[in-house]
Amino acid sequence: MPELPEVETVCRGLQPWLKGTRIDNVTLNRPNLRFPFPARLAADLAGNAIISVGCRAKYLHRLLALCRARYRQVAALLRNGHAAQARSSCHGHRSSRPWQEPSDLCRSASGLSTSMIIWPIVLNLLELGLEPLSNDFNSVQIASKFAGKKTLIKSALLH
Amino acid sequence: MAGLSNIYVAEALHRAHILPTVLAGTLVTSKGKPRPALEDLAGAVRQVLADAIRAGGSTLRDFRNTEGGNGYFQHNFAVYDREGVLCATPLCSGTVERIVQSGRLTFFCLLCQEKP
Ligand SMILES: [Zn+2]
Repeated sequence: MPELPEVETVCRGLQPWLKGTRIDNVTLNRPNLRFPFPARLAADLAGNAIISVGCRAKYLHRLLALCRARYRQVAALLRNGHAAQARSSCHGHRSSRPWQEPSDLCRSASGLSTSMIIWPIVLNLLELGLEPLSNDFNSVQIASKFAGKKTLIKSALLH
Repeated sequence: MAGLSNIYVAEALHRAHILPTVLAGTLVTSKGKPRPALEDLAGAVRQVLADAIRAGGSTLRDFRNTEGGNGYFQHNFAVYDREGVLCATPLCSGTVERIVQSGRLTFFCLLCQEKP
């Protein structure tokens, strides 16, 4: 399962290609990705730019500046290095398991290499825990998570 | 920790010389402060991730970067998937061991991963 360093690598590779890219139009081939699409999703996205491409833990995300709302596309690299991706609004959804169907929407919108199959996933980025590459990641913060924990150090680090 | 996997946890614990069998709480004092081993671990996690990113990640199966190329950090593993190999820690004469924890493989050196 590709993890943080692999996602960071892909993120850095995508940034120069995606940041600032304008979305001409959006074709929705299905009504939902785990959750129903907002009624105006295609219209909201069309004509707007991807304003950032970033990473949160092992997930890629893109912020789309929109006239009426802001959407965040979230992608995860699944086993075999394939990408998982979905759109979730900035209001956030509950986290969930990966959806089991590829998304042409995201594949065509992302311009990712053809070796990547896009799979949607919906998750709340705020629920992911301490970010190892952030300034908040230090021994004091980790100590506050580990204090009194009777789980193995390995399990504690994995979660 | 968000985004850490089996590989990078094994490598970070090895660099920090911490046994994977210790309990997380033992790295924290009774007053909730980090013990020195936890300071080492925080640094080791950051260092391992930085090194892995510099190497373009690890390609174990078929991870590819956006240009279709491989990551190279798998060539720098000190313990992960290296059971029976001589430990990479300078002056350590141990060999890498493998155990199963919570259904997942764990690799470590019994000789130099002695903390806390
Ligand atoms: Zn050793």
